[in-house]
Amino acid sequence: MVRKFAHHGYAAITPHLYFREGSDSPDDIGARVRAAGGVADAQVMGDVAGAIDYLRAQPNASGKIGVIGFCSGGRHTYLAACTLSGFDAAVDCWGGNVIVDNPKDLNAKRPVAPIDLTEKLNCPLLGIFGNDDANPTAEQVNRTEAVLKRFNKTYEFYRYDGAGHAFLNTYRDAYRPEQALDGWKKVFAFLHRYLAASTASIAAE
Amino acid sequence: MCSYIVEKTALMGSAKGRRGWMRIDTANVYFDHPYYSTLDHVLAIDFTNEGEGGRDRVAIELSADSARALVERILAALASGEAAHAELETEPTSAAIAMLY
Repeated sequence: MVRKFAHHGYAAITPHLYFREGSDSPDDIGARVRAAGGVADAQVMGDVAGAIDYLRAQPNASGKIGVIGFCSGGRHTYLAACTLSGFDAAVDCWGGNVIVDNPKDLNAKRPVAPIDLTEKLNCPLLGIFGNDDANPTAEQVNRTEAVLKRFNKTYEFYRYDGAGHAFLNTYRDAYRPEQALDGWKKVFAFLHRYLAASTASIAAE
Repeated sequence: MCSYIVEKTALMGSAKGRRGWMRIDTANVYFDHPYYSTLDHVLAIDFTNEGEGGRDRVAIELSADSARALVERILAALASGEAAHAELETEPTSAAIAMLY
C-alpha cells in the first residue's frame, strides 16, 4: 500500500498496529489480536499520532498530512479525523461500525461510535463505498452522510453499484476492476486537491 | 478484522500444527475476513492452548456453507460413533474374551 502512495509522489507510512504482539507471521499475530477483541481505539489513535509526528519530521515532508484506511482502518480513519489534529485530508474506504446501532457493541476498547464524534471532524473527508456492502450498509452510509451534512462538513462520498466490501482488494473475490479503477482515481484526485504539494505526506492504515 | 465478533469455547483435545501434535484447550470462532482464502468472509476457527500462552494455533478457514455442512457431519459422526461404541460396551463377556485373542 505504501509503495502505491510512494509511486504517486507521497511520503507514506503504515503504522504496525499490532507490533506489541511481538514477532511472528502476520496472520498469527492478527489471530491473537482478534482473539483479544481487537486493539483499543485509544491505542490506535496514539499510534496514528506517532505516525503523524514521524512524517512531519521527514526532510521531504510538505507539512500537509492525509490519512487513509480500509474496513476497520476506514473506521479508524474516521475516528482519527475526528479525534486528532493535524490532518488535511482523510479517506474512509468502507469503514464499518462508524455507526453503532446496538449500544452493547460498545466496549472498553471501542467506547464511542465514531459517528458521535462527527461534529469534531476537522478535515475534508472522502468516502468510498460499495452499495452491496453489509458493513457498512447503504442505509448506514446514508445516515453517515446525513450527519456530515448536519454539521456542514466538507466531504465527498462515492458509492459503487455491483461492488461490496473491499472491492479494491485484488486478492479477494470481492475485487471489482472497473469500480476499483474509478475508486483509486477519486482517492488520488481528492488527496491531490487537499495535500497539493510535490512531496505531500500521507499515513496509510 | 471487521466484525470484532469472536465466539470462544473451552475444550479438551489435541491438534497437529506446525510443530506436531499439541494439546488444545480453546477454540476461537469467527465469521470475518480471512487471511488466506479469497472469500470476503469465512468461518474461521483457531485451535489454541491458552494455558500455554496461546501463541501456537491450528487455523482453518471455511465458507459459511462448508461450516454448516461440517457442523452436520460432526453431529452425525458423534451420533453414529457413540451409538456404535455403546453397542460394543453391551456385548456378552465371551465375545469380549474372544476379541482379546
